[in-house]
Amino acid sequence: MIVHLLTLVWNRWRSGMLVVVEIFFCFIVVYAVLAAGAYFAEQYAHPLGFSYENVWNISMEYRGEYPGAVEASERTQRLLQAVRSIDEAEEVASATVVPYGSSTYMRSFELKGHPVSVLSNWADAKFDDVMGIQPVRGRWFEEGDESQNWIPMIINEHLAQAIFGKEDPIGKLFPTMSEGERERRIIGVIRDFRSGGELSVPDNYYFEYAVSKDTNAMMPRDIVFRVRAGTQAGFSERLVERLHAEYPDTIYRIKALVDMRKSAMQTKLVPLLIAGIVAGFLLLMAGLGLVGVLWQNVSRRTREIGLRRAVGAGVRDIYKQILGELFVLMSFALLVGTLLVLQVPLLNLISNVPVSVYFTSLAGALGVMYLLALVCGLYPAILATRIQPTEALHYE
Amino acid sequence: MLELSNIKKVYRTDKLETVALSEVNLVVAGGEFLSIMGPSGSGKSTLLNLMGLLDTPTSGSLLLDGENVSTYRDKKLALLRNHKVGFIFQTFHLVNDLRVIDNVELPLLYRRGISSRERRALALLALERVGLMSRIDHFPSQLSGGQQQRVAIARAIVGRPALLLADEPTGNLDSRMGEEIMDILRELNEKDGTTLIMVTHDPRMAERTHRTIRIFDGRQVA
Ligand SMILES: Nc1ncnc2c1ncn2[C@@H]1O[C@H](COP(=O)(O)OP(=O)(O)O)[C@@H](O)[C@H]1O
Ligand SMILES: [Mg+2]
Repeated sequence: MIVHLLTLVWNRWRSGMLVVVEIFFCFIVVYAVLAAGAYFAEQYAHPLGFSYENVWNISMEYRGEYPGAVEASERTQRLLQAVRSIDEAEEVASATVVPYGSSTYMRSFELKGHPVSVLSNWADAKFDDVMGIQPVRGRWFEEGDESQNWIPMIINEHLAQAIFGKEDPIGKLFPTMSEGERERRIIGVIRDFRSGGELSVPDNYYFEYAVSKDTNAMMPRDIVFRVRAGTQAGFSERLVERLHAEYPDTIYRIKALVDMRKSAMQTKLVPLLIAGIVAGFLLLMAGLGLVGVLWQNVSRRTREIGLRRAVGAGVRDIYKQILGELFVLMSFALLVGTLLVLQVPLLNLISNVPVSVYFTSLAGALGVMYLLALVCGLYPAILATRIQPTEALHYE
Repeated sequence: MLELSNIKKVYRTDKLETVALSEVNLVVAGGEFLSIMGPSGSGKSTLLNLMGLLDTPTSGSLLLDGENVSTYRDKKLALLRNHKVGFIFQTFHLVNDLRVIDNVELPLLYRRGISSRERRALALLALERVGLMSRIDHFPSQLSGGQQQRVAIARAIVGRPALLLADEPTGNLDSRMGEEIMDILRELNEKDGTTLIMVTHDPRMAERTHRTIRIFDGRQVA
């Protein structure tokens, strides 16, 4: 029977070609959308490494000239103090890069002759309390860590694995990043700190202790603080006034991390959603087109179907015939499509995507397309089974 | 072989009711070659369709090999058609997108427990019977009308049915080709003992059969 189906489809390839092309393009689009979705889902499944609930961020925009390291550190301390002074703030800390913010710092070093890039951040001794970071090894920064003649450093597991493999990184020196810098020593390992949020790619990450007497001290840019659960947003105006009183030359913006997370998610998910809707419409159009083509096909083949019935085909045989031919066409289109999309992982066209993403989305797209075939083929197939042998052969 | 008693067939459409056959009583013996004649629209094809189990009578009973099939449902009828009946039509009804050999194999596709090898072998035997061994890989459109009808005969006999029904098998052919087809049918009847029932307009064809019945306006007149 399969040979018969293949023979028939082969001999009629001209009429099937349209369906094949349509299914092929549809498959590619569905696959692309599913792959993007699977990719995000895969990222989402990785641990964030921090908690964002009840955490607020103050971003500061200073318009003036850089006043020097001493002044910069002093400003940071005074602003932190000002935030601590309001009742709602339980823990207050500063960092250069805050989660869901817009900035990232990327540095690189050489490992076994290959450049390795790493996301970097500078944080103080309270940052772990505010962000709910729990080191899996060693410890977080503490006051007094600045008195070392090396820079204390905390790295994520990904980076620890990359540099030290299975060895314990605590106490080890970090590879030199540029000549003449002070040496860095690892004091702790954290699970992760995905400042880009749940949909960002897990990457190498490290924290340096933001030393207050650092000659490179930066102007404060972000302060994060944790509030008691259930605290309402009402305090923010009061806080801005308080900060303004401290340094009026700076613009202060206060946002809950939950909200920052939401908008960060949206910027990534909205395009996917739109693509999903477009793909949905495409599927619908393709589906309707398919029904039309099959319907026409069935009515054009009334005589042939009647003949099959006359020579002994049962209703089920006709049903299987129509769906079978559709599945042959479908499988051909999907085979070509699969071979094409498999080139992406095989040729490594996009880096940093786990193989599972390709295969789950491939399986998903194949499933969707076969389901489409089944749904679209059902009605024309039922129509075909209604053809009576006499009616088909009567009129000539 | 076939026993029809008091057969009536009424076609009902939304507005129209056509009595195509009524009070038809007929016995066809095994090995008989019967011809049916009558003017156009008199019900010959309807009768043939009933005898070939393509359709069921509105009333009356139809016995095939002693089995009352007039009340059988679709599935059983399809099975019986497949095993016991072969059809030959005026316009051949070949599947244009299938090669000759695949057209001939078609009925065997719907028969259980038959391998593709056996199918092929049986189809080749049938094609040999009709003298078309040299055309097995042609498409129907590459054959003459007479050749196409021979393919149709091969398809009708491939499953070795005891009953062959032919609806004006020579109606679309010139007389020389018609004679050829008639020779083949005669041979099938004489050598294999296949029961043959043929609708024809041509008295010369009818003369070459054992018996002729005449239908007029849905009734058997002779
Ligand atoms: N499927 C059908 N539906 C309605 N009327 C039909 C159908 N088939 C045949 N008829 C009618 O039944 C009568 C007999 O038709 P048919 O058996 O084809 O005649 P013949 O083969 O002798 O020319 C005609 O009047 C025809 O119009
Ligand atoms: Mg007729």
